Amino acid sequence: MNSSDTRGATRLGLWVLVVVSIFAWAPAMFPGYWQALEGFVPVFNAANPAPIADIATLPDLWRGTGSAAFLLAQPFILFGLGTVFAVRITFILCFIIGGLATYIWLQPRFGDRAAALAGIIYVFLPPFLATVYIRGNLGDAVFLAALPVALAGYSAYAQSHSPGAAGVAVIATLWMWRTQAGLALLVTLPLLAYTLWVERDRLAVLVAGVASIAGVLSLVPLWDIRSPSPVEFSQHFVAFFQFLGNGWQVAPSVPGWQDGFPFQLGFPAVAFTLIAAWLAGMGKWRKQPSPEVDLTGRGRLLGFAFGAIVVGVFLSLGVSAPLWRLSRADQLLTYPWQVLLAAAPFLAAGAGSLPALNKRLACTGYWTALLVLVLMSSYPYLTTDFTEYQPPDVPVALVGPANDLVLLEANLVKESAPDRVELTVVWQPLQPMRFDYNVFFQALQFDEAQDQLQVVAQLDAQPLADLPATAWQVGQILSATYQLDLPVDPNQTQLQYYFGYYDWRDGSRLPVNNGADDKVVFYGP
Amino acid sequence: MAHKASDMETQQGILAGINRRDKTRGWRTWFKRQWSQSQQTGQRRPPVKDAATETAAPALLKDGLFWLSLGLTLFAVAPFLQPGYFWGANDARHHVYFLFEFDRVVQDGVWWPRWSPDFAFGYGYPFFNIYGPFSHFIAEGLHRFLGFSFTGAVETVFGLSIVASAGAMYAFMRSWAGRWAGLLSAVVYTYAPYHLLDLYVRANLAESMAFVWLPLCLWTFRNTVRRPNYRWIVGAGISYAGLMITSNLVIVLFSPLLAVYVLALILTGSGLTGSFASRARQWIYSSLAPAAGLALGLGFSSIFWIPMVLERKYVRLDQWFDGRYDFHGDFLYFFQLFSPRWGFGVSVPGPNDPIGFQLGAAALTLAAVGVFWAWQTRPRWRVQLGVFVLGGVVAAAISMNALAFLWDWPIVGSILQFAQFPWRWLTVTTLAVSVLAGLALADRRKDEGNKSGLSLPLFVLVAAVLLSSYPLLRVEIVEPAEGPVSLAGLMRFERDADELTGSTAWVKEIPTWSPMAEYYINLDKAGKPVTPVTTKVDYGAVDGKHLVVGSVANNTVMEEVYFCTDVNEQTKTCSPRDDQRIVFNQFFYPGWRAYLLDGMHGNPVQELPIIPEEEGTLGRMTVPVPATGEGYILLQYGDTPPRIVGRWVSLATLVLVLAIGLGLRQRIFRKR
Repeated sequence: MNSSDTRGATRLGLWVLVVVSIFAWAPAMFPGYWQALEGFVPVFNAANPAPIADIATLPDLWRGTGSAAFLLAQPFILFGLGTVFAVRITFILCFIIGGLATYIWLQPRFGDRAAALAGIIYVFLPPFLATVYIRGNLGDAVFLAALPVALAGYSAYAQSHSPGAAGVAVIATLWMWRTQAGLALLVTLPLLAYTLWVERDRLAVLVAGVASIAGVLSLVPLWDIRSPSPVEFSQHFVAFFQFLGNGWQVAPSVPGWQDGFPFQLGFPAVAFTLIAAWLAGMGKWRKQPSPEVDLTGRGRLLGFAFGAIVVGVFLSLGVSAPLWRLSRADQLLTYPWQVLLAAAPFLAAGAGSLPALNKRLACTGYWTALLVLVLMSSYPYLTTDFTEYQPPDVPVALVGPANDLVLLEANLVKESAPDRVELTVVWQPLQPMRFDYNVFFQALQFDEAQDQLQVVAQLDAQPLADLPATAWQVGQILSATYQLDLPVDPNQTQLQYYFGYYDWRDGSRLPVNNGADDKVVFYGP
Repeated sequence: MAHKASDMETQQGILAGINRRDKTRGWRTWFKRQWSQSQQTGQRRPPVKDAATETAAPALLKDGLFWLSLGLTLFAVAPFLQPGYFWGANDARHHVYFLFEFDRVVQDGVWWPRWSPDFAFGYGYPFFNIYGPFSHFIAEGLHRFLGFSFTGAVETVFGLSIVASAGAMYAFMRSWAGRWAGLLSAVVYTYAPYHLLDLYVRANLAESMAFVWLPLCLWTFRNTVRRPNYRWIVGAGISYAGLMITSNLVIVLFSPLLAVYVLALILTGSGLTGSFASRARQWIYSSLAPAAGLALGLGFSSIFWIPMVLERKYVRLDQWFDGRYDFHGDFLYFFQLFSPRWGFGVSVPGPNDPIGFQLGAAALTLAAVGVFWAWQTRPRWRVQLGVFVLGGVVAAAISMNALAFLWDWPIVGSILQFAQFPWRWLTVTTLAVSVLAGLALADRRKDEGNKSGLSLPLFVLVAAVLLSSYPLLRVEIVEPAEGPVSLAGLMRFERDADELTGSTAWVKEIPTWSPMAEYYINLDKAGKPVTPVTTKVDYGAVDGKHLVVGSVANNTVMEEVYFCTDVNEQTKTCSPRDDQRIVFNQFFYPGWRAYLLDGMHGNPVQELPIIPEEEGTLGRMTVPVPATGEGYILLQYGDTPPRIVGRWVSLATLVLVLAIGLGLRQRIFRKR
């Protein structure tokens, strides 16, 4: 094999990237949604945009999801295509934008095929797939799309000083700030370092600095929006072996190292990066795959990428806990492993550089084999727990101190002769339930003599007879119907109905809507 | 190697010369010269550009990569080598009982079975009159002559289809894009998930066998355009006929792609400059050989397709398209083409099918590389590439839920509905993807320079394809729910699964049981050998006073019955009367004929009418008893005008081809 193989196929990598990345976003074309850990939270917040997402999630300036995360969904909602569809399209666009931006960022220095390999590695990177199909976190997904766009913009600007490139870089930076401010703040320093050391362009550094300052300033009006973290940050560091595991399941991150949630970086990403690092260490980065490839800064880019990967991995490990604590950076993220998302483009760059470092691997046969390997390693993860359930734009209620579950639907049906009422509820746990709570369903009638409501019928039961609350999977859609036999005709009598969850040991009820109440109230005719 | 560099110029020169000289002499002269040139010079004739690889490569049977492509099918064949049979797969039981019926009729001396006597609980169904019988011909050969069990024969045919499809794909792609491309395409084709779905999950024998003919058709028709000669025309005819008698369903899905492909070859192959008129004439000349191949294909297979087309209306088509076969519930969703989901079961309405319709991660990646690589580096292939890309995309698109409305359009819908299940169009997509995947290694310079044909990239990609499909290479071996293969088993299968109960157009109510089924089950329950019924006369309709009947001979396609009307108990004589009918427990269908014989096993003296029963709902045959007092009636399943015409056309085509072949051979020998 020799380099003649690559002649005549100038944009082969780009087109193949476009086609192959379909595999990454095809699951989001399921006609419905998926039972991700965040449930329908992106849908609720896309339908009801706020500066910081606040429906079924705790609004927080740094950890919360900014309004820019839902920006791409808005045109589709405006066109009446449905909020769920709009959110799915946003996820799809994240993959497409992320892959293409990675390609555009790396193509000048790596060449067509290596850049395409990096783009493909990026969209099939397990952390990216887990963000979308396991966590269902739109904010982080948008961040994963915006970061390579910013890198591509700064890189292009440094090489061309084109106002367009500067505009793209600034918009992408602002987009990150208004999507996930915590992550944006964390990548500010690396972005500045990147422009300073890799691109070595003062104007690019200036643009990056100005964009970051603009990002910070854009948050000033929201400075007071703070909420406590739903989880203990320090308990969610990753054990190193978890980066190299091959597990994959829809399960939340749990304290300790026995997570079901996958933290794997992906076999090809790790293996290719190691080989690339070795090749670069051997001085192979000086090899020019094709005449149009610019070698300027390639070594620095590779060095920076490998460094960013090491830093990203380090900051996810427990040994970095003091650093997080001392710098108070633990206020910026919900989980420490989110920092890996900031390192993801560099991981893709390091791994994808293989064909740029070894001409043989740029030949069609080997290069195709690398693509197949990347795709095959992530292929089993390209499905998830789909659901055809169509959620409402606003949930009925949020239950629990940390929005543990969201009540999606509650439908009351009253029947006469026999006099009874049926309540059908659909809910979705958003946190692992800590206790096997019971539900209460009460019918109350106003007693004029005592001038207060009196319970006329009551039901206390396990929410699902065969599935206690602690066995509920986060993101799972559950449904039950509760029936109450009444002493009066519900269609003729003014009744109120209370529904909620409680701890059967002491009778304490779970708060509803962040403590606004401890029950959901329905009114009779 | 030097002459190859100027292939194009040589070809253009030859064709331009032909064009100049033939302007005045017409197509006969041109075709005659083409014909004789290809017959006489064979390989010495300057090949056209795309065929250079094939001519430079060793003969197919001496090509190591051809044998390697066959050998690499071993992993796909392996699941069929397990002990037991995959009874739980969708059509696995069907094909065993198709063969069982085929064999029953063959045992009675019918070499081209059309009637299946035990389907529909023994009322019979003209199954092989409307369903391509080729795979069951082979299975019957294995069963009858080599002693294979029914299940063993079916599994062996599945295995043979895998091996042969790989070989066919190799041959086709080698002729176009070289040996590496051939091997890669063959492996992708063999291990394409939809192909594996057909084999292991759907267990559809005919469609699996059709996978052999698709690339063979492409290969032979391609060569009728590129190197028109007797051999390729006959090859095209055989391939097309083979596909026709293998799956009359797949041929409908595939023919548009084949037609467009041949058209593309014709339009792009000449490389002529000149006026439109001269090019148009050239196009017409170039289309003669493929047209002849098509005509031969239709001629060879007319024994099957003429009756199939003309007598299809005499069966209840609603059973094919209603209820669980309603195509509206079997559309695919876009994500399914890319989903790793795989399993056993049947397709269900909605997006949650338990079975997988993925196109294959490795296959699609290779196809994407192949398309863009060849598009940029082989400009002359662009039209052909476009045909396969368009064919694959269109076929996948029309299986999608988003385009379901097309299926209800008047003319388009009737064509699309031939697929019965929308996802069947993935056959065409799978073919296209496999072809395009091979192009990722379409580099003839290296290919031809490498005698062994092996290369590391080729090895790596083949391994990647194999590994990508490796988890899918499994069948579910289960015990037959209806017991061993027998008539009793068949009846249980028909009852429990509500399958193989196809009925003819005269049947008003699909039967759910029958006296024959009762008889078989009772024999089986009693532990006795389950032997076929000795008569299908409905004795319940014989009163024993005005009419007495008794079957004297019976097999799967005939029954001879003695009758006696108005029996005198004392004198033991019969008196003529003409108001009696004999009712047979067989569905009425064209081809059944009744005769009055001149004695037991005698000759027909009068043809009797057969009247579908008017009072019942089963559409059984009734034969009015002639007013002769007593006699013998023969009910026999035979030919109809379409079947006779079809048979003679096939025979005439065969004779014509042999005659021309012998004539050509003698001419060549004389000249030598």
